Amino acid sequence: MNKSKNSGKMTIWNALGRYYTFLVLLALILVFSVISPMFLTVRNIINVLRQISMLTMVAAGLTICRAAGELDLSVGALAGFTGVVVAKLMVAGVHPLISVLLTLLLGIAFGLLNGILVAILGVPSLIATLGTLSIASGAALTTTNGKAIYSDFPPGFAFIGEGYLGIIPFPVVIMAVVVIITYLLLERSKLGRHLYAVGENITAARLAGLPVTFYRVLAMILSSFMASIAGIVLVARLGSGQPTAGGEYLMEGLGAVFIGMTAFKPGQANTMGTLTGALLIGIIANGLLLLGISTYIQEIIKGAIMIAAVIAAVYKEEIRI
Amino acid sequence: MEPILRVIDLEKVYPGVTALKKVNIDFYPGEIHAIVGENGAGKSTLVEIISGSIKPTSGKIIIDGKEFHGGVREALQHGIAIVHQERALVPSFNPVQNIYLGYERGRLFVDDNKALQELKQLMESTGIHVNLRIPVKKMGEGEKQLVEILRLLRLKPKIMILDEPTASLSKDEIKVLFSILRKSKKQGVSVVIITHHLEEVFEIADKVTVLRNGKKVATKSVDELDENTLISMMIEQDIEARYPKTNIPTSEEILRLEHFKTSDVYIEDFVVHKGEIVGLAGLVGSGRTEFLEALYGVREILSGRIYLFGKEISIKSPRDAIKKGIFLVPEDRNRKSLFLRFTVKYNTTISFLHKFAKFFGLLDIRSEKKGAINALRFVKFDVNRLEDVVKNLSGGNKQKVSLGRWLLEKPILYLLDEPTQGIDVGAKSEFFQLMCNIMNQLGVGVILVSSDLPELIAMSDRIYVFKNGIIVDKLNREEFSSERILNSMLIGKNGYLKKGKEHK
Repeated sequence: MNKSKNSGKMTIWNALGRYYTFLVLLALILVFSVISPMFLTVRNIINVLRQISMLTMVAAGLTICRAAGELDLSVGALAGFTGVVVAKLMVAGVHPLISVLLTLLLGIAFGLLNGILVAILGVPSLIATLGTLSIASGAALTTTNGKAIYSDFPPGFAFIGEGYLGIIPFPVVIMAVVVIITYLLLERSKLGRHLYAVGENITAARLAGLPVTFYRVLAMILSSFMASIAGIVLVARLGSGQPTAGGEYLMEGLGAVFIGMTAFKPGQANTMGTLTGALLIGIIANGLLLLGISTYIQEIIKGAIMIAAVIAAVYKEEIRI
Repeated sequence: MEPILRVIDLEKVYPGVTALKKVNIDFYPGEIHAIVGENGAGKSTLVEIISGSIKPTSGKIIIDGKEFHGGVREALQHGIAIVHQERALVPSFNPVQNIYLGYERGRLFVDDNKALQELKQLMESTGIHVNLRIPVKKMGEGEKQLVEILRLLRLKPKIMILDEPTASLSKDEIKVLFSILRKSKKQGVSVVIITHHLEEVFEIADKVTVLRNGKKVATKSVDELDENTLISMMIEQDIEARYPKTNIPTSEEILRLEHFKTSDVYIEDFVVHKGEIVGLAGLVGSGRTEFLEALYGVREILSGRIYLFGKEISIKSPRDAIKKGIFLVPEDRNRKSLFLRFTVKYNTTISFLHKFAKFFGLLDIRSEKKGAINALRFVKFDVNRLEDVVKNLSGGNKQKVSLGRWLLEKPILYLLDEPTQGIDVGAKSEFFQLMCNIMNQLGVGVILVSSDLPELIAMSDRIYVFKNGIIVDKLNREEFSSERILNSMLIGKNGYLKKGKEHK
């Protein structure tokens, strides 16, 4: 059937469908600021942004991965592992800058492993990264013997987690850079177009002459790379290398991506959507905290809200995993 | 006689388009009723509504004097069953499990054996035979279709709907199907069949309803009609020349192959000239598609030489082919060519984005849009629909996008694989008109694979007949005859491959 839409003109319903997640976010902000006078203060907002900065970095990587049609379950464990490695390197006396670069390189290598498993050996990404998740968390525990690495990190390194640019915490600055680069890459570059093409229809992408295998490997690498950045920032922020830290970034990162798939470009993982999702998660946690609701109940509410957001999109048949 | 099924003032409105406009049709028991029309005429929408899977916007459906309010289960209870155009089978289930899905035999545990016995009886009595032991995903399209038909027959419906049931069946299978339909008709079943093949309408149907743009043109007894009248009812303008072949002087050699060998085909020599359409005839699986895909770098070329304008080239990937100006318009465009949820513009520019990339690979959106518009103008696609999602386009428009992609760079050689499959008569004609324009203006060569023999004969300058991976016959235009081509396709000398990958 020729069910053409007048996509040139955007109807109000159309717009509502695209931006309702964003509207939910605004509504939540409104509700929380009415209930709690603490909520809408500059300090609190900056606090929320800092809270979600690492989560957003992980989620940005997952967005790229998802655009190419893959999933990466290893990001949380990798963030933990790379965090431990950067801490260990510095404890061993390696210059912080070198430590960071080496750790990022490790992240890239890890992504390459994921990419080879998925794109060259043909293991479904869900299974491949479930395996490498276990490898990464095992490696983190092995290198540290299961204990946290405490040390006074050099001030230059601590700045990554604790420093400020004006009133903006440095992790937020890194988050902004990551989000902007991801946005430009996915929305405005040739690379992004091609990644989306591979994710949408891999056969057609191949026949359109795109180097499909390269792009799938690249998507896994970028996902790991961004998780490694998050892992490094996390250590700088905590002031210690925790082998089991980072685990929550997988669940929350996926949550942000899936919530994001309901917004802006419904049905597709997209950067602005993911950012909205991360903000939603951050604001809910923060708002509930200000209302004095226990963190245990917060977990339940977070899960329910994520499901509710996605239900609407699934109902419109816009999301398929 | 009372109609068993009445469709009254049926309307279906989708956002932006009306699929059905006030359609009224009566269907009688013991009658085979064909529904014809171009793609997008509303045929499938109509039968989907009757079978309960789509809700109408307004109008009524009366079955046996009672109003039917929709729902697939309710339709089945009313005795309506349908074979959908798109397969509705569970891929990993075998035919028994599929056919008895929702009607499993046995009480506490599922008794597939009982079902199997029943099914064997059904196959015996109908003459339709399929392998009951293997999962349907391992079956060819034709056999899957037969499974769906068996499922329909098992339900013993009073009203039987078949949406393009013959598209993937062989001649013999179609014969069996038609004899079953005739038998059902004698037993008082009302049969509704949608088909693109007009000769089938005259062979099997008693009545025919023509739909055009969602409106009913007429319901007529088949005896009152002939094929040309039917076509003129289906399309708005009278298409004089359905295949607008223009004679383009062929001179310069574009492509030459010598001892071209892959795991599926062996071609001793093969030439395409500028402005020439070389048609490839053959059965499905005779190696035509495999040949095109090898030439496009999708399949490995084992040995042989490829010359483009007399210079030897090598093609190892689609990228290599595209760089040389060799472009493939693949069969099954929804699966192999298009990114369905993305826009027309996206689909058009995807292979040549580097032309619009500036620093750091960021795209210059404006010049990209201009490039897309230029290419789409060439194929007469409405450029106001640049931002439309491809999924929502008609078959003909989808094909224009699929072809338009290959006008962003200068084409040298087009490889067209079943380019008019699933598009309607008017769009077919337009497609070839466009192709001829492009050939006239740009001097390209074309290799055309088509299972539509009249089309192949009308459009080709030369025809090569494939069988089992080799060329068994070559015909120049003055030698064209369907008899000779069919003969070579079916009983030509033995091919390069007998079974599997056994080499000569």
